[in-house]
Amino acid sequence: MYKAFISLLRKELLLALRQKTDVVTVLFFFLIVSSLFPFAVGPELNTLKIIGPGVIWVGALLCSLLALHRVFETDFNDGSLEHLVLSGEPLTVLVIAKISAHWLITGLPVVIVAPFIGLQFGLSAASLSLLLGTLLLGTPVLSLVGSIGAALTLGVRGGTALTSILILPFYVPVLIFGAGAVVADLQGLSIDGHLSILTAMLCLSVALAPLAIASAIKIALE
Amino acid sequence: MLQIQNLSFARGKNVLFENLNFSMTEGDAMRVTGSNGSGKTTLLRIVSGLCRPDNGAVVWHGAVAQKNESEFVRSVNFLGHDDGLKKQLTATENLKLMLPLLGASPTDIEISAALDAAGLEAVKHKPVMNMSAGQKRRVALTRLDFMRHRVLWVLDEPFTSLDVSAISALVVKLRAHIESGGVLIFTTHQDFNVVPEASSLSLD
Repeated sequence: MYKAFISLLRKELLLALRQKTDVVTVLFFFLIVSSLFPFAVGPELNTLKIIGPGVIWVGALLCSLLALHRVFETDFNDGSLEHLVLSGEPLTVLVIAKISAHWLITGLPVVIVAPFIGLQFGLSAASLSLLLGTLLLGTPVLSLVGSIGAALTLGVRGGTALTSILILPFYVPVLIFGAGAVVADLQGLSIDGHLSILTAMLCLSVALAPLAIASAIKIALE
Repeated sequence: MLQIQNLSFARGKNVLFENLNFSMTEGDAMRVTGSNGSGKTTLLRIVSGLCRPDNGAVVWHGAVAQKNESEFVRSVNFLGHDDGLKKQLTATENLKLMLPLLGASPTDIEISAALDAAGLEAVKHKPVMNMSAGQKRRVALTRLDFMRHRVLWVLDEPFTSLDVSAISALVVKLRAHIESGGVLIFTTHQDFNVVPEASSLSLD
């Protein structure tokens, strides 16, 4: 099981390495979206501080959405997904490998770049650390929940648009508590609740999303 | 070993097959024939566990396959219309990263030798996207060399895109599998029976 997980993860990362433009496009998109806001809103530091976490979180959310179609669609089209289902390894474990790759390719670069973007919004070192923490908790949830939508729309014409419509309502709580934690901290409020809910969402999605995705894949292949 | 019991499947109002029954034991081969849309691929997908029938069951070693799914699929080696290859990766990388998922762990030397034997020596380190359809099929079929531990081979149109020499090489592999006690089900549009040992099932 461990061998299959590592093998699939390596395959996905190697594929991402061979399609560097896809990865760079996502990161570039994040940089552009988050960097344009300070120009549009103006140099008022207090305003920037308040909107900064939200802007960065929206950018992270859109980046995750942008790359979602790649999680299963190419495997579905080239026949690889059939091999995964018939591998004899637990499909949930293979699904986790694919989602881990999605997060490493789209989520982690965003998490790494986010503090530098945060500087444009005048966020303090403490706020940047908190932003980093919330993104570390929240972006895997985006990948996990988003992959459910990607699996449910496999083989459907216009699946990418449908995935967005299906998934966005489930992304909103992550956005609210992720960005809200940093804003609450800036306002001197307690952030324990925000972090607890984000952690709970991560635990729930890790436990349930692979099961839902495995079922959706099997249905799509029938 | 493999029993197909009262298998029925319809796509909408189009009944592809109804109350289909057959059984196979060690060393058996079956060639499924039929016109386009007659249900050959669907039958193979049901036999391999990818698709559920409307009625009936696939029984493997006395147990209904769907009830013992994880055990059953470990016995199945399925090759569909699509090769399951990643076009950005080389033939070597494709096999190296795919085979561990299917329970085989060949060394780099073994993979290289198998690709050489398949006549892919010159292109084995090139991305699959630069290969012809026949070469891609050869790469996909090279996988069979490492799938001997999977007893039930279900191959959908394995001869498609292959030239005469590749067809001969594939027939040798298929016969070796049957002779070693494996079970083989395949579809083909070839108008001659390339595996004479195989019985025939027509879905027309």
